[in-house]
Amino acid sequence: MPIIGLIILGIGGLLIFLYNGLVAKKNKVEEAESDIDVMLKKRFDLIPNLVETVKAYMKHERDTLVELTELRSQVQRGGLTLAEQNEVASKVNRLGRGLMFQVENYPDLKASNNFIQLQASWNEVEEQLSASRRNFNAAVNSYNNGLEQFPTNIMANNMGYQRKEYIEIPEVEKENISAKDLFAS
Amino acid sequence: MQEEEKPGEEKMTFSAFYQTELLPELQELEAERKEIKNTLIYPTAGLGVFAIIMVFMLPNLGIQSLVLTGVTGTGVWVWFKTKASREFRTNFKISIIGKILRYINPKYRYSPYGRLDRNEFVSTGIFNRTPERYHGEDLISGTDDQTEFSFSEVTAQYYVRDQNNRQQLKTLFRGLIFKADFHKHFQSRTVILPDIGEKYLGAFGKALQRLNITRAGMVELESVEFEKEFVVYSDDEIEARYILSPSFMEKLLVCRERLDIDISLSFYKSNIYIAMPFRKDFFEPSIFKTLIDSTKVEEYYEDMKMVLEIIKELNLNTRIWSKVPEFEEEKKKNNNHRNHRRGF
Repeated sequence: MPIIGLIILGIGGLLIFLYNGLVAKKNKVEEAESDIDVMLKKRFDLIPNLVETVKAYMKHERDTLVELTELRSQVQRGGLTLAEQNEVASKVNRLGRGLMFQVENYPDLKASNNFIQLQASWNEVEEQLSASRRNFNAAVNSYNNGLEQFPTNIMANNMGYQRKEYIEIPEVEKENISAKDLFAS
Repeated sequence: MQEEEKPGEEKMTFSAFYQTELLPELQELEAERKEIKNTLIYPTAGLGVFAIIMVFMLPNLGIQSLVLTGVTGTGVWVWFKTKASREFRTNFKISIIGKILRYINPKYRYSPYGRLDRNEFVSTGIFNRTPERYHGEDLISGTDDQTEFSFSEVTAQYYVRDQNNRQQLKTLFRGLIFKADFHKHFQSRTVILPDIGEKYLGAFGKALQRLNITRAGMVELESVEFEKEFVVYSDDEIEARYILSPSFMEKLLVCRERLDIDISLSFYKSNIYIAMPFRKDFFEPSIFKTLIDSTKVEEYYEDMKMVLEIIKELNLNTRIWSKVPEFEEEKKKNNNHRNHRRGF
């Protein structure tokens, strides 16, 4: 009889182990999601800084600056899903890069310390944002595997877990701020 | 790399440099080497005669004592050799190795008996053990464009007890360690090791790596090729991905392929460390072979370039992240402070 008891105990232990693993995977996705949120906020918070730094110099890029400010307030109003926020962030990236490239026409601005620092943080946030997105996708991948692999798939089904979607990672960080890319966009 | 050159001034080729700058010095050193070789004739001959006597006495002594005297004899001989050639080695290193380095860049520094700090070696986190014996030499350092770097030979060893409770010395690491200021700012520690488990055991190996409790969390990266070659552990998964951007992973793979050895890396306190295991003793003159050998001299040069190449290969001079101004200032202050304490 003790053998049967041991087997039951073993199976029970395994179930708990698998269950906890699944929950951990789900939580990791959520954690990764909030990490992206933090980075997105960092990204949007740089906008006023950018606008403030360049507006005195860049008379001809006023439209872009207005658009950037609008995009930020759109996010601040809230109610956007992560995917939508991501899309806005991509747009912000593109506009920001465009501005950084235009700076060639404004030597005073290009030489200003504020601008140099801003450009560096812009690049940094971009790469950090990309890192957090990749982290999210890795977490989603591990979670989705758990949902489909045996035997956790049965469990996940009972728990009502749904597959999660990957987020798109724009191919921007390959060569940071290269002139060619900017012309293309 | 050679930003110190004046415009319009062509850098002479290495063979021209060898002929004009190195050859005269090598000839002087060659005379010194021959003298040392001659002084070694007597101990060598003496030990040789002793060895012959021992072989004749073998039936009386047994194999064990023969081995023992063999080992002792070799030890005595090596001691003679080291003692006789110490000064010669130093001279050689300072004049030849130092000169070759300055040919690459006049601002680079060479210290024959300098090495990477032992505490720093431990703090990289690449190695699971603390070495009980640690030594190194041939420290080369400098600043390439914006990247401060250094590398040296390192040998780290530790003791274990065998079944008979005898102490045995094991090698933890032997080779070169390259250190450079990394272009991105980060706070965590990320270690990249050659992926032995996954290469030979596949998914099972990966599961084992995940269970490795001596290491911080394993980070799985999206590049299949990178994952095949390396395993990554880090205290901060996002920072690890920030450091290991897709393009940087590609560059690391290229670097690994060129060096063609199992390199390990660590990112810690704003630096990148690359441990390159080699059996070879770098930048050493031979007592028993002629020094007037252009291929040998070229080898010293190529060995230096092999390591210095890493900076370009990994694009460490690209400074587009916010690490640039204020952080560098702070670091310089710290360095000055440290150097002062050392009495520089």
